[in-house]
Amino acid sequence: MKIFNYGDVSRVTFNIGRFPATALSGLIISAAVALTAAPAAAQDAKSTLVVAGPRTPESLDQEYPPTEAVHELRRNVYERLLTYAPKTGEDGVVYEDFSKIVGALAESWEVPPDKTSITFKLRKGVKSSAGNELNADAVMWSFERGWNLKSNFHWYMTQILKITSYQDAFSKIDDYTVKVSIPNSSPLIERLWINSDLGILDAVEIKKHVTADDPWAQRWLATNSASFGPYSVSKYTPGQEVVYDANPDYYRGAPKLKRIIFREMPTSANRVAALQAGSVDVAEYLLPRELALLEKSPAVKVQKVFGNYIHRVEMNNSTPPFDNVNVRKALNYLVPRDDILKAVYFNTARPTKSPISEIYPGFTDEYFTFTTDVEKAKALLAEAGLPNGFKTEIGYRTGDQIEEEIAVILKSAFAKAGVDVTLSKLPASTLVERYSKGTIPMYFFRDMAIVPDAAYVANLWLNSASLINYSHFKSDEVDKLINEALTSTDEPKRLEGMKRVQQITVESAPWVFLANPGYQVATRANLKGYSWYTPNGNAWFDWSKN
Amino acid sequence: MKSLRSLFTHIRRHPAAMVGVILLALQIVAIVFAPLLSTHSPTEADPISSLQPPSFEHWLGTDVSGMDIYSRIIYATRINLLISISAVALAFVLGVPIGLLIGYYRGFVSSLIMRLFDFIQSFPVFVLGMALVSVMGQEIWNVAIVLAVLFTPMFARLIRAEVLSLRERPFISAARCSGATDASIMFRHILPNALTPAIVQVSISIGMAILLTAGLSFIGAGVRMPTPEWGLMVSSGAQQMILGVWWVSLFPGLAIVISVLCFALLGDAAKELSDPTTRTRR
Repeated sequence: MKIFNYGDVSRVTFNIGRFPATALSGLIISAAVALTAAPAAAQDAKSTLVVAGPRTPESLDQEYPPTEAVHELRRNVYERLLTYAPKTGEDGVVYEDFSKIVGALAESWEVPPDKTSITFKLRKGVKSSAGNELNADAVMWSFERGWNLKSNFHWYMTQILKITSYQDAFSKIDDYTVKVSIPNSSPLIERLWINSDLGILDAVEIKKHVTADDPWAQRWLATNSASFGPYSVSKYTPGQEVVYDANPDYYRGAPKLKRIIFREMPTSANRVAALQAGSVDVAEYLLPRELALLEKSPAVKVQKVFGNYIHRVEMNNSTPPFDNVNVRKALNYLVPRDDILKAVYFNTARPTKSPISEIYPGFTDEYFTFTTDVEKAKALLAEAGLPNGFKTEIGYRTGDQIEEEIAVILKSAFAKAGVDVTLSKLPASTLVERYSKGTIPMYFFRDMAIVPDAAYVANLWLNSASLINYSHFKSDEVDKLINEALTSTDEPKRLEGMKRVQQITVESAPWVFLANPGYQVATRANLKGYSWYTPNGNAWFDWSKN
Repeated sequence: MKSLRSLFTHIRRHPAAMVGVILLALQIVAIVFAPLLSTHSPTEADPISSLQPPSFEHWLGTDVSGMDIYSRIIYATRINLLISISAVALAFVLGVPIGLLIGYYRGFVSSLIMRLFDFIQSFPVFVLGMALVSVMGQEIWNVAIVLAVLFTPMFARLIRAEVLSLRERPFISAARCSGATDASIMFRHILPNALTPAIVQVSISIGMAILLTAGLSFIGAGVRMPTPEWGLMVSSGAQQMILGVWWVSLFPGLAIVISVLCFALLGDAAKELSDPTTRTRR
């Protein structure tokens, strides 16, 4: 869970709106945006950024289940103990260097060779947006709150670090030193603290809003922010807008953009229109076709990165006919991948050749052999005892244009081997309910894991014990390798194990492998400083305006 | 025979009615000869040729999945008219007898049925349609049944209003005095005289049903992709309008306009034809 879309895919998807828009409504909205944006722009055009996204964050509390909107908020508001060193890619984009961890709120840290504890030495003089200073009490209170609310923090601590007792695990050494001890070794003991949902809270500020029946100020934090990050939320109107104001005392220096105004525009065509009209500076989550159009405009810049999303059709491996590996392989042989990449993704995506993101250490595509081969698919179906094909159903989300386009193409492609698919467009909540209960044979699934570690990713999607392994894929060897890799500190052995996991997975084809869609954002041409982090949300601290 | 000839005369003398008849004939041709008229399969995706503008190969262009828009429009005539006509036919078959009964027998049950109709009609048609389709499932027949449910009160009310005035007329009293049974009065004396407005309503309702079917599909509550259906086609193209791709939505939109116009013109003609004051005034 963490990482990704948890139980609510609706919030983590290309949410282009429930109803298709017309160009007319696009114009009306962009005109409305132009009108409302005018005063802010006049104030200080160079230090204010207006962003159009599909939806506002559902909650400002970092214990809320992670969604795309929420990930972006956390990246900008909550500061963590550790971070990856930045590295500039060949495309000029600033990425994270997964091989080099550096301190963020922790100035330094110590991990013994057996990786059973981590001691953070906090940076001194760090101030929150409210002006309170960072110390061990703030960190301990953040840990305590997370542990007691039994959500994101608790999941990482119990499921990944296998902590069982709060008292044994977390201790304050002095005013600027905190130690976390874990029962067994964990190769992830450092990496985990980089996750955007493990931010340190401004305990002094939050405690002002604690009440007898709300000891962790959940009500207040749902609509307010208090941390040591580059921005704080000064206005939060769910469904409409979020206004971020810069924290002048941020430890890496005051942000160049002083105010970020995030506006909710559910329909992507409206975001395109607003960006073209210049009434917003940034348009997030656009369709590949729209990006291709915008690229032709000199006033607009389109940033594209590989990203870590994997978009696939999952099959329910525990029900017939998908309990037969030959059926699953046959469908993989029917997918016209090149056509989909061209017609749907406009070459912004790449074919998925492994269950692990291609940018993560340990990735390999050497076992991927699926081509578009109808005869081979027919032979495999015949071998499975279904020479005439079968009838099945595929579910996709209402309002997801990409999934609908791919679904229509897959229907035609599968029909070539006699597989008759009914397309079911379902509201996100219904779709999630059906696949989590295992009552839909095939469904689209788009997900990403924010920890760049193959074992971590495999554990989420492929471990038969994982709650989000909705495809019910089960391989005893894969389970064993994942569990070993989550406790072993022998890095070469871990990577070897993960290679084998990718081999077994690709050969068992639990999913219909489709595409890694990448991550793209369109901005006005005068913006610079684009950076990409694993949760995909934009980090406004890195940006500036000419 | 004589009435048929007067029908032809009427149509010849009214250009609007003539247009309506021609458009209807075109649609019937499209329905019957769809496999011959179409140039491609209406449901086969061909991603390589996605979003192509109108050309010799694809007369009205292709949509995002590379399906031929012309062929889809032709086949969609079948789906749209099948849904609309069967919905209205069902509503007519249900609504007319109900209207006759609740107009003739006025009692507690009749008032109860009228309140039920009030209840159905007090909802915006779209909202009720969306709710019903999502409960029953996105199948072609379900859409037809939902539309029939929405239209039944309309026919029942029309008939009831006629019955209420007819049942007080002297010729009904005369029939009753001569010993006719209730059934005979209702079906032999009242119904033939009460039917005219309902028949006029049929044509207008078919036009409304086409619009509603298209509307429901447009917002995703109608039939499923990739079924060829006009509203669904307009909806799938709406996202592309801003990218300068106009043909995906425009042509199915025109098909809706033509079809609705056709039934509206026929409805007008039927009204004029059935009204003695306009029929004789030349």
